[in-house]
Amino acid sequence: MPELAVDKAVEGLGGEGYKFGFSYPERSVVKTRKGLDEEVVREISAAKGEAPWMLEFRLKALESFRKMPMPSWGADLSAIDFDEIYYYSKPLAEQGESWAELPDDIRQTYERIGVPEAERKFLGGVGAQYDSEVVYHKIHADLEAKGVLFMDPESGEREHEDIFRKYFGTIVPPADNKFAALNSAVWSGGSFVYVPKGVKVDIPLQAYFRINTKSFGQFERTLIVVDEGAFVHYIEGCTAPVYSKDSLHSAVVEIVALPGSRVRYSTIQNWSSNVYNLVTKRSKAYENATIEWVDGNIGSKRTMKYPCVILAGEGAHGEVLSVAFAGAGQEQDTGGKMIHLANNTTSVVTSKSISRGGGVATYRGLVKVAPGLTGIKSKVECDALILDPESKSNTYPTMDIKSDDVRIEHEAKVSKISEEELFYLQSRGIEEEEAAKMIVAGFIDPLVKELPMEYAVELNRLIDMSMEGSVG
Amino acid sequence: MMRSDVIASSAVSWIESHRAAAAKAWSELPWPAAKDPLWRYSPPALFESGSYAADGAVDFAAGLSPASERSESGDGAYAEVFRFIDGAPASCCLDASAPKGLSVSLGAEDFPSSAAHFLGGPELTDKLRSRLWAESGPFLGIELGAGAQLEKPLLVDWVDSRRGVYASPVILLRLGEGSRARVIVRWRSPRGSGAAADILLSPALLVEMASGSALELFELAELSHASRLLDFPQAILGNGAELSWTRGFFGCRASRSRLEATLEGEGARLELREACAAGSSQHIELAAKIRHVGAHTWSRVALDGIADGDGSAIASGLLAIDKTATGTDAYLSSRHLSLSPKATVMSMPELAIDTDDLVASHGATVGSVGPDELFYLETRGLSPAQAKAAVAAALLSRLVEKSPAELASHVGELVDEALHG
Repeated sequence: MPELAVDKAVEGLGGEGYKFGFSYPERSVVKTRKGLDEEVVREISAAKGEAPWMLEFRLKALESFRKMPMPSWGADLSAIDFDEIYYYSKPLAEQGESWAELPDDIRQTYERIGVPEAERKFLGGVGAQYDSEVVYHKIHADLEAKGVLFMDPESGEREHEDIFRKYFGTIVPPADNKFAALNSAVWSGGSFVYVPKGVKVDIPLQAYFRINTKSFGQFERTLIVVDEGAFVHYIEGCTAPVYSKDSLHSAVVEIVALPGSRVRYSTIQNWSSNVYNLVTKRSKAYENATIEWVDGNIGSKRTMKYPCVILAGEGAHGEVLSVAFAGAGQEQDTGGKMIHLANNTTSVVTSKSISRGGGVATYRGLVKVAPGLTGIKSKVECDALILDPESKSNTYPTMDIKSDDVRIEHEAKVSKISEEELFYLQSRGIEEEEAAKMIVAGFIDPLVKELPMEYAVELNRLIDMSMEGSVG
Repeated sequence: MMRSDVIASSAVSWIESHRAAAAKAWSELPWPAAKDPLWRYSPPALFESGSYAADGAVDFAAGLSPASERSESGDGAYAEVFRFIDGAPASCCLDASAPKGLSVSLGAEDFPSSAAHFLGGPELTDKLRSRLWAESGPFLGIELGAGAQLEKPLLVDWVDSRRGVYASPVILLRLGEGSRARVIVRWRSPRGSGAAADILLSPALLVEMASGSALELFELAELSHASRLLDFPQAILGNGAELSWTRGFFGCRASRSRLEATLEGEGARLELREACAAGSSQHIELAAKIRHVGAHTWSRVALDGIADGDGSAIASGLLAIDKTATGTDAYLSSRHLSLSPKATVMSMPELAIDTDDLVASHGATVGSVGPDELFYLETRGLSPAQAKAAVAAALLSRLVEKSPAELASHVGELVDEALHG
């Protein structure tokens, strides 16, 4: 077996080869001071001119955040200093109606990332968040005409309080965990999506999150409500500049899939290697609803993220498809949770991870079946590739079953790229490095197949880049 | 009263210092909270040991009977029988008929001090484990010299019908280079009187295997329905050592086993099978941590369980592969059947991998007896209850198959009993 050599091109995707690590001078019309206390929370609330109930919600959450301990498990978070972070920075006084209206630096940021081009080509709507606020939001006129709502949550709260308030904070309560509490106290920006009964949104909606400020915390909030029989595919992307100081991204995503609806939520997380990405993503599926999380974790310093589906209605189906790539200095602690609360509910979790250059990839998952249910099926499959002796791979699944009419399966496998596979490809004239890339591409294929074509190409390119020089 | 106080005069300094450290930990550590990661899956209250008194000093000289006087039938099938009745040694042949290469130490005085590495240490952060070491004893050391090969199996038989007693026997099995043996260890309440027995048994079975040794170890726990078992077995395998370890758990109100096996030597091999049947109001947690340290080590771990009524069967297995364990091949399987809507099954098959040169995998299933299986068996004349029991018995068949001939029919009966109440 040839030695797996140290990278020559890229030290992990969030590292040297990271092409989104650029930054522009900081800009803000409102910026809170460093650190977090009640005054900062009140300042954020005042800057938004929001309803009194929301300020109360924030202050309660701040109390929970203070009381709750840091998680005693998972990735190493000991270096986070909550007093060194800026919690709110509003870059512009007003949202732009078009890309042309945005200041040059912000517009160029998104152009370099490729968001306006993607919008022109294949998106039904785009939201772009720069630090704490959404600077651009647009939805196709025909979707708007069908009653589809796609806006920042602040506007959602103001303009559609009936739907927004009914679901906001119900899937992820503020005291759910320390980082959900933090988000609930200082949240800003994100998306609010509502798809009316029977409406199928054929082309994806996308939100793009960008951190520009140093030592910054981005705490966006996403609430997606899909009414009976409706469908939406929502895509989330994220990048940040490479700074010597760490930033924190702690989002909360809540999805409500009402009876017979289907929601797909795709993430390509490509934060720079100085970002702690600690996100709570949870969804609730009612009768015969389907929720799919497609979750690609490429960047960040530490990620802890376990998308969850609460299968609350009979016949509901949940899926998590997760790919994690842990390069040098990265810890990807990811997975999926399926909570079966109704009869005849089914779930599938497929997780693929690759670790190299000393990176740590961990799958952490839960399948829970409430007492006395019938007709429950769940399948969890975790595969991991370790590309060098410095890297680590962990698998921590939990199956908690309190019912007898169940069929639960779990499989996991950890291995390196096998000599036989490399030999086979090399004997057919393929260079060794190319052969290794092909094997990795085949390994993550299940995820790639589920992404819109443009994203699949991008993901393949990213993985390709990260594999550069990994065999030799 | 703590055992360490009762037999403080034993004058075995290394054991005394371990006991003192453990007694300190026991008195200082708080009672574990339900959120304690060590106790996530078993309510600590099930093992509330305050109401169980230490079993007091044991008179090692009394009660021993030579081989010629062994009364219980069937003992002749064994090369040697080490029987403890209510905590006191009742049969232990130390006479001339002892098999060649076998040496035995009974009591703390002669217990090999080189086994100290098993005792104390970081596990003293676990309050209930610290009581085991604080009150450790009686001690039984069984050593097989280099090259010794036993034709017949050895039997260690702990028979307990006491009430309100805490017992923490420490048993060392040490195999010298190239030696081979079969050992059967039983933890049981006597049949018939079993219902009355109520003990908290917290044994430490310590296995140390030198290069090239081979051990077939069969362990069977069948305590009374009121009793509790809190088990901390450990094994260390040297170069090329081969351990085949089968463990069956029946009966107890609550059982919790935390097994740790370390494949230290190059090419060491471990085949571990654990199986349990948890009926109504029974709670069984089987945790196994297999650590691969040596290169080219191999392990196959199977954790099987059945939960019926409102019983709980919980299995957590961890394959931890160190950086040094290149060329490792490890597989963990966990299969569970839930036979009642009120039963609880939890399965946590875990991998922690620090090297790239390996194949490690696990597979886990939790299921019920499906309508197709039921229908198939019912068309062959079985009642639904019989059909369910037949499927469940098939799950436990790995245990029955691996039972030594001397116990095969008894294990079959235990499985039957567990499945038919």
